[in-house]
Amino acid sequence: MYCKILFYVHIFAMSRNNITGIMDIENAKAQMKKGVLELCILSILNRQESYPGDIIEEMKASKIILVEGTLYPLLTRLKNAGILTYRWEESTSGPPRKYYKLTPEGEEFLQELLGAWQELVSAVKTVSVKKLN
Amino acid sequence: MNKTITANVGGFVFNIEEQAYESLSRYLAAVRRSLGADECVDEIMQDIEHRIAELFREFLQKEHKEVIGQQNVAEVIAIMGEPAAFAQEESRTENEQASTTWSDEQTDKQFFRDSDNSMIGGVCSGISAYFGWDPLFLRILFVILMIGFGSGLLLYVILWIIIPEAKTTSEKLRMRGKKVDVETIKQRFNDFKKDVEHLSTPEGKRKMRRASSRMADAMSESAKNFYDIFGRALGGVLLILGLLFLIWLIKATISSSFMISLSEQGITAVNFEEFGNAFFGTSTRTNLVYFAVIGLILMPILGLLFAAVRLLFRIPFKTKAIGAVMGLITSACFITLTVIGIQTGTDFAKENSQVTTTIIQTNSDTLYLDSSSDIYFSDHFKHHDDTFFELLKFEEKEIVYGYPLVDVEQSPDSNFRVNINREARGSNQTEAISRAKNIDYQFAVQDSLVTFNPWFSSPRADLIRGQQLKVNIQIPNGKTIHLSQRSDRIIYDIQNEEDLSDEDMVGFYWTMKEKNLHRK
Repeated sequence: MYCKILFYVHIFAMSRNNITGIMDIENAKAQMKKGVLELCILSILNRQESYPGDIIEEMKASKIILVEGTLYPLLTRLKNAGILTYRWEESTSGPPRKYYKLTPEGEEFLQELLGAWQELVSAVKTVSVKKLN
Repeated sequence: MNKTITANVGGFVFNIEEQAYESLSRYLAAVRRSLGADECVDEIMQDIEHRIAELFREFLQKEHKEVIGQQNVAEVIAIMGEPAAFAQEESRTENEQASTTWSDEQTDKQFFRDSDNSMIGGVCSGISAYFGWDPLFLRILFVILMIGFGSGLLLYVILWIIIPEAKTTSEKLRMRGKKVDVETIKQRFNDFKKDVEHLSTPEGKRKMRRASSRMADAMSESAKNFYDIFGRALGGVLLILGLLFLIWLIKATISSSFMISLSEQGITAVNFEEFGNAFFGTSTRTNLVYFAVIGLILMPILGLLFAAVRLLFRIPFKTKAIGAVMGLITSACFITLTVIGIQTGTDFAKENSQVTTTIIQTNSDTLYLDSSSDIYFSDHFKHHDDTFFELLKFEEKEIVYGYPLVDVEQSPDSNFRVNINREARGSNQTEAISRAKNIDYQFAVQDSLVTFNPWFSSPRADLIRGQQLKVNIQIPNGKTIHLSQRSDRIIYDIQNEEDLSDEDMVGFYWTMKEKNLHRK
């Protein structure tokens, strides 16, 4: 928690320095993707236990993330938050792999997220459709 | 042909081309930086390294080769993403910053704490790894700093906080290359807190115990060698020094003439007892001072000898008890000296001078100044180079001083005059006056020849209380004084037009003109 607060304070300080950066379209897209990243990962893991490589493949296919780097910090944080749990599995092609799955709390969390996402989608739809008309 | 480096990535050994290794380690450092102040950075870094190892294995299998090249590293970076991609919740501006620092990082060097080879926090081993030293020397240095000045502890803690721990394999391999900024220090401070907390856990305590016992072992090990070579040599020197001092002290005590005065001429001796009685007043005081001084000199000598014997033969003395006794004796001596010093000092509180004037009845225009033969001291002292103790003699009833000071100046009228100025000190004016008057000084006048004794005396009962005798010869304007060769013994700092020193003035005629002496 403490870390997070520090983080936000830091971001605030940084963004004040360079407010125009936020208007960047690439940035806006990236922010959006980041917002739904958790939801996507949790959905994949809800279907089946996976290791990061699998998750990446699926996400790359749906173009939500393009690089693996984004994934590792997120997985670790979700695990530390008690939403995910993992087990080690030996691999023939290298180091042992971490296979992640949802905890019961994680499943609850995912349901809430999905609910929120539905609301958001319909809200965005309503707003943008109104605007178009 | 390229040079390769063997690197451990995520627990697997890879042969990596040097350049590729450099860029990989720079990449990992940048990733770590962009992960920022997160508690789980280490875990994330480990996952990333695992993944990189996996990718490397795939590349090697696919390409049927054994060495990871620059191309492979570039592929890994492409798959994993720029360091900025790892920064989850940061704004793009910061990401951009992170990536610029990453590409600028070419020549960065970094200190890491080497927790694998650590005694406590891995500071010494990390620094040593960086410079390629043996950590033992640094540890000894730190222990000396801690024991000697206490600052070593603070320094160690500060280094513990500001130097990051090498956790991932690549960091351990690098042990170099990152700037210390406020943010990383903040994170490291958290790490440090965790480390310290860890030290208080049973495992940490065990580690501390192990560290201290290992340190003690290492110390005693090196101490063995140290004592054997240096310690014994030092012990030998100390022993010789101590014995020399002791012999000198015993000799001086037996001959009881060791009142030392350090002067330009070195060390001169005067019978201590007589001087002491004349200076401190009573023989009791003299004896007290005598023993106190011996004690003050003896204690350090004994300390020296103890240290020497300990170093040489390692006999376990009861250091504390000996120290306490020696300290007690030293302070007793010191207090005695202080009290007697103050008592004696008060006897010098007031000063008085008594002047008697004699008018020389002569028709001559020249006054001849001479010194009588010195029956107490020598006629041939080098001019005023002699010390107080050399010109001091104890007779049965009086103390003889060998330094009357004769000066020449202009007379207020047309007469030659001799002013005898007797000075002495006492605890009050009456005492000072009486002592001044008691000073016995003789000079003889034969027409124009004035002969001064090169000594004066005061009764023994008056003690040595700043007795001084100044002779002031006054010459009328236009008249002349002749300084005999022998007068060199007594004249003191006579002002003259040529600015000659006293010893160069003798043997000449000097005429008084406008308050100054001119050579005739």
